Amino acid sequence: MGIDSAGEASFLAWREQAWAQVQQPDWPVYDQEAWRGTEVKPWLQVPRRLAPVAPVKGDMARVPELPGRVVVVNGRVVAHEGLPAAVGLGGWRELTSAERASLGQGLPADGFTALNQAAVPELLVVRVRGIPTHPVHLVHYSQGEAEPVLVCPRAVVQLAPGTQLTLVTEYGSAGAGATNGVLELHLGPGSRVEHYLVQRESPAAMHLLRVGVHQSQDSHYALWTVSAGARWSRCEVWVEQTGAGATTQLRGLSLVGGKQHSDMHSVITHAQPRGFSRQVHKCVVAQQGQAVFHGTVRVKPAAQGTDAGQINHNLLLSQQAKVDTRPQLAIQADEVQCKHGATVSDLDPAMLFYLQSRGIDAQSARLLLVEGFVQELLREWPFPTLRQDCQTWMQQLTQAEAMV
Amino acid sequence: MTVATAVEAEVLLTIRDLTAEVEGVPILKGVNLTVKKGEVHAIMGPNGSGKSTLSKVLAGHPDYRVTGGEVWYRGQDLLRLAPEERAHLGLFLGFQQPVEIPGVTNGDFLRLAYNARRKAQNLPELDALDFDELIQEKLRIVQMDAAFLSRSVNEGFSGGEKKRNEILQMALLAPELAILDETDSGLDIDALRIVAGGINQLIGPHNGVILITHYQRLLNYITPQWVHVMAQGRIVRTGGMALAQELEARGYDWLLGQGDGN
Repeated sequence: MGIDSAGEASFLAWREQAWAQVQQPDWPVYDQEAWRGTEVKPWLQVPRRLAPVAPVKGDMARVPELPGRVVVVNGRVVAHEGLPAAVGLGGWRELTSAERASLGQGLPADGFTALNQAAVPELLVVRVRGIPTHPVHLVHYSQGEAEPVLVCPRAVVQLAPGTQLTLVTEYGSAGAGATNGVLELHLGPGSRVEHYLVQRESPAAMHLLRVGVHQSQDSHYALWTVSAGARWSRCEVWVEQTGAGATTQLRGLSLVGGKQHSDMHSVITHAQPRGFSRQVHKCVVAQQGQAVFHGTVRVKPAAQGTDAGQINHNLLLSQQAKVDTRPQLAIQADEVQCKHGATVSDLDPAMLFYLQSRGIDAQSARLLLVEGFVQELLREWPFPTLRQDCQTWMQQLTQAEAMV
Repeated sequence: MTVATAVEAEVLLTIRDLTAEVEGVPILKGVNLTVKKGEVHAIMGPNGSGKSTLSKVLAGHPDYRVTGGEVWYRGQDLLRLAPEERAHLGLFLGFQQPVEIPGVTNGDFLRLAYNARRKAQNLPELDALDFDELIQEKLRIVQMDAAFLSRSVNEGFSGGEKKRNEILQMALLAPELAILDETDSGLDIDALRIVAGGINQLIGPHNGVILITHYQRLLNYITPQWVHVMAQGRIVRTGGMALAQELEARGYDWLLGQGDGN
């Protein structure tokens, strides 16, 4: 397949470099401030084995609307099919030395990034050379046998100037595995990415994903996320507008129930003039679920004319449900427009009564209100199968709630 | 209520000595009322007399606590039923202040409500296509544009549009008993005509209507058989259209002393 360059000496050296870092006694495991609200301990408690290469089981995660796909199991590409001609797959070997040097740039230089680099079985490179005819579906799956495994997948997406990509990335698992993933996107000048990200790990799993986005001049990056699985999850999105006139849209949804902990951590850095960014993140939290939203917009001194907005809305379905929300602005330029905010609410009893008075039972009314809450985000997903999955997850949240 | 004599079969709603409170404050202090099929009752009275409370208690609003009395509706103990069960039995409350529900389209809401009642009646639910045909017909009654179906429920609707949307729901659900809580308030003359027209379409030998209104002007379009005056949590006077006209001429003050010690 031309992907596996795991044996390359330079690749091994790159990994060794990270091993050396991890083993330094003063190497920071994590930044306490950036992790406020989320316990790191669960990661450190369970001893884990690096996941072996596993065969594909069944016809996993097939989405009829997405014929072009790459399946990555335990960090290795096991299959790919139906990819558009404008998209090429490769590995470490295909990266230029400049591209190799840029790996990990913009991501926190901590234990998690280093561990991913040290343990990644192979590097997947997706190169976009033109305007693809259809989306690329990147399915990540981790499966362990009896004992908890650690999976460190990593992919790099490179967009040539003026190209476009619709990318769907899914993360799923079986068993009590832990994923420590990295996904890096480099958008060339004038390129456009529509990125849909689904976290649907198994209920016993742990999931950390770092998405690093580098935007050149006049590029456009839009990310829709749904985080629904795993007992512990954290999605970090690090966007850096390194060119002028770049636009960024983050539109995320956290569906949290049971005893799940779900953290959305985003940092958008405007480093050049006339940047634009908008972020909407919504959390629906049921039962004893805990959600964290920590979103930062940074505007560097050179980023005059930046227009940034960020809002986080939270809907709590139970007394025990918790959310920790921290929208933040860090502005170092004068000529900017920035706004941010957050809201937390319960299901409105007046709305529930109105629906019930029209014959809609309490359970359906709750679901309808949750759907209404997320609708502005969910309706933008152009894939009915994935929208239906979200529907099912919301149904589970409202159903389980009624039993409490 | 198991004895179904010819006379009793005509009765839709019987309220006996109903008392209710909200947040510990007694509002209803012994309401008695009987509504038969084919009847239109107007309940008038000053602000704070308990008119709206009565309508919410009948619809099952959770903020209102019934402290005494009984309500029978179509042979059932109404107060034991959940709000949606009351709706399934054909009880409809037209809200004084219709609730806005962001993100839920009016069309989806109407179809869910309609099919919920169909299901309760063991009738097959309508699919989107058949429902569309039905709702188009109902939209004409209230002269609403189909564009209202794709907007969020009541969100950004004007006062008049919200009230027309209530009447649209009523027309669709074809209730046996409609309780309309100040549906006429805040309407200009054209909207009032449309709303009154919608109500008149519902009225028939099998339905009852309770119009709760502060003013007589709605009664220029809809003629009730019975006019009741509520004051201080009770119905203090009952008459016909002549009573409504007298209220219009004299106001409520002359009746207010009659709330206590009745």
